[in-house]
Amino acid sequence: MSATAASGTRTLQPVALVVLLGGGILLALAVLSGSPVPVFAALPLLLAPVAALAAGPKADAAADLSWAIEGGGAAIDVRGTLRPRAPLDAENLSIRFYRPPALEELRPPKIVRAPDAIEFELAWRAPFPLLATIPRPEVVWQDPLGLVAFGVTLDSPALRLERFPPEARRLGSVRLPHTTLQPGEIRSRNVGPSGDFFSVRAAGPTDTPRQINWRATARTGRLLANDYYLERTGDIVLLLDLRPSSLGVVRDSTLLAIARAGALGIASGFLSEKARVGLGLFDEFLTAVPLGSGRIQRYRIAQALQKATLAETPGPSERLAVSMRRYFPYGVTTVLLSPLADDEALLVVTHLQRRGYPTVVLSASPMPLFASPSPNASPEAEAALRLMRLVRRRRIGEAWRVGPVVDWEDYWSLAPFVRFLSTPARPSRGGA
Amino acid sequence: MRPVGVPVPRLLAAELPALVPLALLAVLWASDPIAALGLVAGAAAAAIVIRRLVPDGGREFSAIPLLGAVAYLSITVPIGPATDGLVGISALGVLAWFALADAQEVRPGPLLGAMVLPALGLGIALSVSILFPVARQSVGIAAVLLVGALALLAWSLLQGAPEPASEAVPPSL
Repeated sequence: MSATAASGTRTLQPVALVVLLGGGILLALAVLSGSPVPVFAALPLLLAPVAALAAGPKADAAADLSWAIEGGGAAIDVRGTLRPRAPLDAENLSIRFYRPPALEELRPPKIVRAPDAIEFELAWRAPFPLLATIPRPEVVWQDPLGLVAFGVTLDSPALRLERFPPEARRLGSVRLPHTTLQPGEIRSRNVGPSGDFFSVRAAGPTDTPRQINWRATARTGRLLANDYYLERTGDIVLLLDLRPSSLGVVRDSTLLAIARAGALGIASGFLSEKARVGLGLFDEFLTAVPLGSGRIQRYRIAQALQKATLAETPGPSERLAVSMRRYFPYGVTTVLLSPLADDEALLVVTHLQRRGYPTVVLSASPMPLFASPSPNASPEAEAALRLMRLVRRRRIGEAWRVGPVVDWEDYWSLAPFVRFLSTPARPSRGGA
Repeated sequence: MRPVGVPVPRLLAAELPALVPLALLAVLWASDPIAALGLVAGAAAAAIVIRRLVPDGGREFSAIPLLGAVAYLSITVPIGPATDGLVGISALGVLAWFALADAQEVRPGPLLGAMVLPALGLGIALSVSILFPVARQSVGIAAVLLVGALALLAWSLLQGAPEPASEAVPPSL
């Protein structure tokens, strides 16, 4: 039986109303017919909801939920334990889970009841890289007859699901140009073996004894290491084009979910190597997270990406390039995540390049979202798919005239992108 | 768990606590036992059909045919302690139908615990009507009202107790 009740509230279920109504009608029949027999049927029906209310928890019903996401890649296993606080018992608790719409269910939830706890296991699958929030389950105490429900309060947070291609972790090895000085940064004249001294940081397990700053360590009582500029990577801006395209809302939303996950993966990869990462979200106007580094910056970027949705009113491409000036310095490496589904998307690259932002396009291809040709597919459908592939190839070719493009067709792999960034740039032959 | 997909034999078994007393009433006391039995069977079939076909409202509305059969038989059978008791037990069976038709595994303990108060009320009313046969109707109705009032009083004592007021925190300097 699935009951609903907001946490901390008690509600009579529709069944209880039917039972009470039935009892009332039987009483009325007894009066009208002059027979006491219906009264004996009405009595249990009228008493049952009262008994259910009396048997329910008196004060705020609460339970402790400990849960976590396990598994890797496409596999998402949510495991947890729900422990009701006294005087609640686990027997009469029902638990309802909310699955984010993008995820697919592999198996029905597995729920094991013990006298003092409920253990559960959910097996889901992510069809593509995505960021999602798994809301807390709804836990309801319900009497055995299902007449009354009490919402049980849980104080555990919702779970954040982040699934992105594993290659994003290797992005930290890519050298990026350092475009601006950090706040308060002053170039030192004492150039060390690894370049200018930058700062003192907490030592890691991979630091050699020569990297340890022994004086600072003696002063603070914990291992500190020197940090040099050449060990640091530079700056990168991730730019998401949120404008709707001719692909339609459903495919646009899917591609945006993939781009959000990819952006967070790329940001995490660079931030783990102390690079500065910025984020731009362009719908009608540009929303920016300025360049920054560290775990807080990752949190900021994750928050902004979680909120990113398809634009209702698309802005002109030039506005994006102009707005970039307000937040990001010239010359910063820019990764534009766009499906390049329209010619308008191509214009963004042109404008960004003209305004001085070296842009790499990471284009999540819409082709895997179209049905793959089956053996029974009609010749017309196959021809249409082939035409779409040609159009896609032509559009990417046009984009290559302006800037490099990485076609992201296998959503679970960023290997082509990592390979492209790791390859040293060749001098242009055109002399431009 | 969704109501759709509950197997018919399990639904039939869940109906038995209500069907058995109703069938006894129909066979033993109804003026036309065949028609009454047909009515009971029709109500049982209708409850199962509603339960299986209506995905969301099936749980609530599936008991209506059973309640209809209870109401019809309760006004057609003659007055007597046996008919009173069987009608009351059939109403308890309708209540059990909600639990038994839904639960994946039947736990008798909690189910019987939930039935205690309705059964107790029915028992008090029956014993009053048997012990005071002279004024059966008025005493029975008075017993019903008494049991209802006691139940409401118990509920208000259990649920409506005011929370102790927290002490006012003196403002800090």
